[in-house]
Parts: sequence; structure tokens; C-alpha cells
Amino acid sequence: MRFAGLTYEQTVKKYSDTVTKICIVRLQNWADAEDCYQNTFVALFQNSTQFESEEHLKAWLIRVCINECNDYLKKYRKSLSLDRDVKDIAFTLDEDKSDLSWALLQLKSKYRDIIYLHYYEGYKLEEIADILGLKLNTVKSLLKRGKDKLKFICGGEVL
Amino acid sequence: MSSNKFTKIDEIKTPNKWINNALNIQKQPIATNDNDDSKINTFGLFRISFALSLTLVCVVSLSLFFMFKDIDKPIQIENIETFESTKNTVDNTSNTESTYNQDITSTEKATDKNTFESINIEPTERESKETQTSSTEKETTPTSSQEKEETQPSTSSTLKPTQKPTQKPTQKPTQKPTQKPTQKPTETRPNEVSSVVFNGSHYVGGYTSVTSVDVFCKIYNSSGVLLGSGNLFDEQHRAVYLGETNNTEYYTYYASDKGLKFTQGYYTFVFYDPNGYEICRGTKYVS
Repeated sequence: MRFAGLTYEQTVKKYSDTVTKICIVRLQNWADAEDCYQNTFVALFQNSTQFESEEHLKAWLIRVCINECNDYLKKYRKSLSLDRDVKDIAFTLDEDKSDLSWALLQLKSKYRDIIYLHYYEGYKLEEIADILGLKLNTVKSLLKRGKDKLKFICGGEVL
Repeated sequence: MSSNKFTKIDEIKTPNKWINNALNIQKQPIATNDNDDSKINTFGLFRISFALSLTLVCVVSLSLFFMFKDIDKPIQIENIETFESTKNTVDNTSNTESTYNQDITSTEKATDKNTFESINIEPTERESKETQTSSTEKETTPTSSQEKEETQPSTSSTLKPTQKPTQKPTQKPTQKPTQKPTQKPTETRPNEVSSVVFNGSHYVGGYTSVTSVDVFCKIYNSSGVLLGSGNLFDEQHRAVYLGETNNTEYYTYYASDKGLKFTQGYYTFVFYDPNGYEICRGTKYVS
């Protein structure tokens, strides 16, 4: 079983961090992120798609990971108890003026995904539109609004 | 989880436990595939069973439709035939115009005139009436060979009703028929034609009934064997006294209603009143 010339083991080791980061950014919870991480690679193992390149494989993994996170949020976050002690498993970032990661986690998920993929993973807007299944203009407007909100969170003025 | 706190997203590293679990996926059989296969199999079975049940229902409904469609026509034809056949038999066997071809209105008049007091006949009077009617019928009936054969046994059988009433006390036959018939004359029946026509020397059957009194009739074949049940008051033996016209008493017995079937030959009909006393008897050749 090979995926774009890589074995399953090589694929897991190469793209584990990417999948983990997306899960953490999306869910902000280690336990939930682990579930979605495992589900993503189960989907890869069961997948029969022939990947054209490693970029295609990476984009597919990101897409599947985001879908898994969305499904997980729909299924389980609605029934999450408010009394549950989530301090130990919640993912938080300390405020650091040299990094905006802590501010990114406070954005809504629709802005967070695009900003993360654009600034952290280095995807172009067209590629983000393909991965997320959105129109290019939608991606552009979401990116702009996300940057404005990010600026507002960091204490700056919104243009 | 202090080790999981990062200042930057870039510093997030996948725990080794997660990677090992992900690598173990390929070593373990995944049950979800089996479930999907079973779902597909059950779905296929469901489709097959649904198609089979639908086909079965269609076949059953079609067969029922054609079955009833085939049955309807013969029933209609049979009704017409039986009606015409009974009409013919009555036309052939009736000796007077007051039988089948007579209008219902005229028969109603006759029955109205013949109140049920006419049944109150002393045995001696009955004998005289019987002899009178026998003589008149002998004059009117055609002189065919078969008719002669029919009249001969009937004249011999007329002796029997004269014996039994004379043996019984003379009050009983006169009193009791007057009680019961007065209770039942209101019973009406639709225009019916008896399938067995009793054409004895004193009695003529085959009559379109309008108002009737129930009597009972026992039928013996030529060997003297009683047809039907031994209980006189059984529903099988129920007959009808129609009244008296021109010194002739009319009885009818609806053999077809009782489920009796006759073969060709002589039969002796003995009529009883509701109290069980014999009123009259005669012999009829049934062809």
C-alpha cells in the first residue's frame, strides 16, 4: 500500500505534525484532537484514491482532517458537560507579542482555518479554496475579515 | 499536560503514542469494513425480499381477480337456466290456469277468499271433499299413460289419511289446526315455484305462493324409505299450506330449499299439521 510513492508508515511520520496542528487549532483540546488524528489516518488507510503527488496527498489529509474535526464538533461538542473539568486537557497559549498563535485560537473556526493554512502551512489562496471547497472570493473575504479580527484581538484598530 | 503547553503553534509536536497508534492501524483488522459489507448484504437481501413479496402480492391479486371474473358469468347463466327450467316444469305439470301462468293478483284473491277456516274440515267432510276433487280431477286431467300411473297410487294412498284421523279423537284434528294456522297466515313468501310438484288425486302443487301456512311434509321413496331426518318438525320437512280453491287444497314443498335431490321415480308425500297429525297424503311421479 503506497500513497504517492510513500508507504503508510512514511506517510504517517511525515504528515503527523500537520494533522496534529490542524486538529489542535480546530478543536483546542488534546483528547479530541487525538480522536480526530486517529480517524484521519484510518481514513487514509481505507482510502483507495490514487494520489498524483505528495502535495495532493497532503491536501487530501488536510481536507479529511478538517472534515473529521467538523464531524467531531457536531457529534460531541453539543453534549459536552459544562461541569467537566477541561483544564488539564485544554490547549492554551500564553500571550506572546512576538507570536499571534494565542490570538489565532480565539478566532472563529472559519477564519482560523484560512489564516492557519495561509500563514502557517504556506498555501496560496487558490489552494486553500480547493482544499476547503470554497470559492476564491470567499476565501479572500474570509482572510481579510480574519486578519481584522486578529488585529482587534491584539489591541490594534480595525481598518 | 504542562508539556503540552506551547507558546507557538509551530512548536506543536505529535506525541509518539499517537503515531504508534496510527501505525498499528495497518496491523489490526478494521471492523468497519465488515459492517459496511454486512450493510450492503442486508440491503441486497432486503431488496430481493421486497421484490419477491411485491411479486407475490401481484400474483395473488391477479389470480383472485381472474377467479372472480370467471365465476361471475356462469352464475348468471345458471340462474337464467334454472329459472326457465322450473318455469317449464311448472307449466307442463300444472293442470289448471291457477298455477304458474296465473297472475299473482288472482292468486292473492284466491288466497284471500280461502281463509284458513277451510282447513277446519271434519275427517268425514275431508273424505267427501277428497272424493269430489278426485272425481273432478279425473275428468280434467289428460288420459296419458303416465298420468294414469300417477293417479292409481294416489287413490290407494287416499285411504291412509282416512284411517288415521278416525283412529285419533275427532276433536284434535278439528281444534288444533284452527289455532296454529290463525297465528301464521301473516307469513308471506316471495313468488316461488316449488321444484317438486305434488299432483295427487286430491292435491295440486306447483303454486305461486303469496300467503301461506306452514305444515310439514314427509317424503318416502318407492321403497318406503323416509328421505331426510326422522324428526317431523325438522326444517327439512317444512312445507306450506297455501289454501283452498275450487274444493282443492294446495300444498307445496320446497325440496330445493331443503337440500333434497330426487331421482326419477315415485314418491309418497305425507303432509302433517303443526301438531303432527296427518292431513293428507299422495303419490307423485318425479321425472
